[in-house]
Amino acid sequence: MQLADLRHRIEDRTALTRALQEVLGSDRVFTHPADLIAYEYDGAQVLTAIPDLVVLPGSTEEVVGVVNAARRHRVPLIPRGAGTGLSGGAITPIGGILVSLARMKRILHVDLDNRCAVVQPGVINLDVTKAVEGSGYFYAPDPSSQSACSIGGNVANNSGGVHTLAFGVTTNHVLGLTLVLPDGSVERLGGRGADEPGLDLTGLVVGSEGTLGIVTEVTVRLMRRREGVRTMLGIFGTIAEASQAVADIIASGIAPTALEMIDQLTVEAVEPVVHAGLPLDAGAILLIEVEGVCDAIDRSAGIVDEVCRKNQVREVRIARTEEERHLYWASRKGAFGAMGRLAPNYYLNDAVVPRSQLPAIMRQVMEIARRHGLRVVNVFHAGDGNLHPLIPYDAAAPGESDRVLKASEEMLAACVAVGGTLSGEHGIGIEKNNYMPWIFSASDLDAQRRLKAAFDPEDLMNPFKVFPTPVSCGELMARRAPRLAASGLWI
Amino acid sequence: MTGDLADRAREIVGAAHLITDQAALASLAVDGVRPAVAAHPGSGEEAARLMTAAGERGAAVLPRGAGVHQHLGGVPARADLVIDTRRLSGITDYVPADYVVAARAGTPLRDLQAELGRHTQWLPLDPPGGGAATIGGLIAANRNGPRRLLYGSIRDMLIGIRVALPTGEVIKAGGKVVKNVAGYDLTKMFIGSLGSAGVIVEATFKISPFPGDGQTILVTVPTRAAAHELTTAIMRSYLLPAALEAADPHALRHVTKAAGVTAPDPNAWGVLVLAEGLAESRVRHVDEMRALAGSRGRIEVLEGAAHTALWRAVAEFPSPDAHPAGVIFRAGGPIARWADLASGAQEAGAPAGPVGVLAHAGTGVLYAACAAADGPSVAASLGAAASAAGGYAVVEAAPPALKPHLPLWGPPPGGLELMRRLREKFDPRGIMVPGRLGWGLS
Repeated sequence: MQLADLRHRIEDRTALTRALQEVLGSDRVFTHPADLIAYEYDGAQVLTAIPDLVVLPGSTEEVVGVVNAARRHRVPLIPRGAGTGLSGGAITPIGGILVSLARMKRILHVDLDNRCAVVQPGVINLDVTKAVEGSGYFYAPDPSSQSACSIGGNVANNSGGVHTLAFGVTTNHVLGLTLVLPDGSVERLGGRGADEPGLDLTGLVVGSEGTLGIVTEVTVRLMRRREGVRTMLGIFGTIAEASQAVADIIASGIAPTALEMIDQLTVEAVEPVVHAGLPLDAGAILLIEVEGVCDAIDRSAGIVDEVCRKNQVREVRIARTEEERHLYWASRKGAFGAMGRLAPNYYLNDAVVPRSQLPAIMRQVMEIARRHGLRVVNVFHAGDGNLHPLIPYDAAAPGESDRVLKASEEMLAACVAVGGTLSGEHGIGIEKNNYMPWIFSASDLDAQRRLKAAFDPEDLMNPFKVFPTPVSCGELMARRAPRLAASGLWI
Repeated sequence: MTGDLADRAREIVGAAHLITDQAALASLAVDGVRPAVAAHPGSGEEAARLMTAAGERGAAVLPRGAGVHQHLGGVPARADLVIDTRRLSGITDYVPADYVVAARAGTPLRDLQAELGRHTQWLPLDPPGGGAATIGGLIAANRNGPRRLLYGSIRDMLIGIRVALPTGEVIKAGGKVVKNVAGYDLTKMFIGSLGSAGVIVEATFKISPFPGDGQTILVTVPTRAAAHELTTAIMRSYLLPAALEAADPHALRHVTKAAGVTAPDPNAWGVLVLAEGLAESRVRHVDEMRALAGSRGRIEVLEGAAHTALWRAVAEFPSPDAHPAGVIFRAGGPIARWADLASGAQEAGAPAGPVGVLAHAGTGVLYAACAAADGPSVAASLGAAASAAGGYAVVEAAPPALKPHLPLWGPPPGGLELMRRLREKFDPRGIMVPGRLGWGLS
């Protein structure tokens, strides 16, 4: 089946546009190709698709108006946050109305003693922490894109971050939601306290990639800032030694808040940009952070140091100033912004493996890349077993895109074969939906479809995502050459 | 009808695993409702076939583990078939270095912890009924204990599940890795479901290094208001206690007695802080608690057996065994509002007996226990306080005859219509746990 056969046809475009304009006014309904083209990408830059219309509602009521108009015209809705997602979840290869929540960016309520805040979905992740850090609180999920990504997008993808190891992912920090359903009704889910009676609808909606409804308010958990923090770099000769150190640090019981791995090729790309003084000849660098009451920090840091030495670390560096600490983190969080230095394009994976499989799977990933004549860059959440092999390449070189896809698919398959999963924090979207049968049986997927059908019986919400479709990611990618890598990718 | 069901169930599980003996069935009664037959499936597929058989006959199914949490929920409207998971027992996958363990649903938590303990690991869960409870039962009942403040709830630990559905399929959701966003997070369908969505067959948890010995810092203060002031000060501090409890005089006497400690003042409220982890961190907690308690109250530090027994008693406070023939409530709300919920429970007017209150003061969950005679008035007063605080209150245990007269579940939650539709999709014949869930959901 061709993609064109699946594309949604809008019967009366003029009437639909008018109905949307009645809800939003003409300045927040985009129909002109010059406006629409700004929405043809999200963070998964290899995929592009232009929506039929784009709307920018500013309130729950306006979202209801948009949903009702779409429903009357039976046109799909594609919710979009900041568009930094990495699986194509916020673009629509089959057309429809793209609903940008970017205007809904108010923090509605902050309640420190009850450790929660109510925010609109367009609020930028980091802005939640900025609003409360002066009082000593923070919002824990911190994707590397946190200065750009939105809370609504985080909810859709159940986003992780670099401190997931200790604090968990988005679903552990969302207490309640306001959801506009595809039938136009508004439901307030959760938010009444821990162990609330009834089914955990909030937990079902987090991570549903915008396929169940449109989230218009989010009650998030705030955490108290830890008294002390120590950020360290372990500089290792090999990835294997660094991986063993990761395992030993976790086993020591000190519960580090971050354990991030940066490989040699990454350092080559990032050091000329960030100037953190990282050695260019180290096989792997571990970024380790421990937090807690000040009294225990020295001891925790001492244990980390000891474990690293036992694993043949070349050097352990400790950030002595806040500035130095930020520099260490800039090397990690800015890694992919610097990838443009290596090649015009890149392709990124997000597989997770059981932690003990990490060293073996790293060897396999390297071997797969070598076999396909590709390089691979690794910056990842070692503590969680969440790999991020990234393949720099040149889409203009004949056949290279195909080799990249093939290699990436083999890497994913290798991870699944050792009990891993397709995505740890980026989502399935339209990028990995056809791999879902690798990890789920027909019955497993059918059970998930029952959930979808309970919320969205007519399949109007972000269709063509998550579940397998007749069109492959490769076909979608083949439609157009991807744009050049730019400083806009984070993992 | 049920005779035929018993025959079919016998074909599925074998005669040795079918219970038709009336005395044995009486021991499986839920709120006094005795099941017509009980089956012990040996696999998820057998559990699924049992439900298919029940569905074809319109027979009501009650899934069951050790039966520790069967006091939760309404009186069953019918009980044709109990599906007992205790044959589905044992660890199925455990690589200590992964910090992940998979076990079959009928595995007692105690057995799981014993095996993890051999590797200095544990599932950081200290729920009521934790001694005998099975892991499947703990998931279905969503049971959590005081240590959730630092380690999270069972919802945060469950990363994968295998379930036999009422429609006859055996499915899995989630996986065996600690981070996973592939597909919908269907594990959430089963946590707190009281068995309504199917029979849990196997569960996979992320686990932690065992923190070693801890210490209790017990501060006694004269009033509820003073207790609230202290818990608020602790929550605003940099301390990271594993648990933080506020106990009224009745509850304090109850838990200290279990610990073999004399409550310093029989009329005092208690604030209990649990410090675990590195020695340096524990010392800091003790020192700072001395400073915070200051002139507010008396401080005592417990270690060893008394410390261990105290926290077991705290965890078991919501268990029916702790309040024979009484009514037990759970209320939740904004964290710092626990004292408003407590006052709602205790100011019901002219009580026949004491209303004991134990609050997980760092997570906003509160348990209250009273004599059956006071059940209706405490329910009304606690329910009103919970609503005013933006929280909820439910009845966790009550004498069966009283249950129909109590607001077991409180006002309907947001999304009730969605819950109905989900129930329909997963249990289209409506055979699972009839009468048990609130608001007509089963």
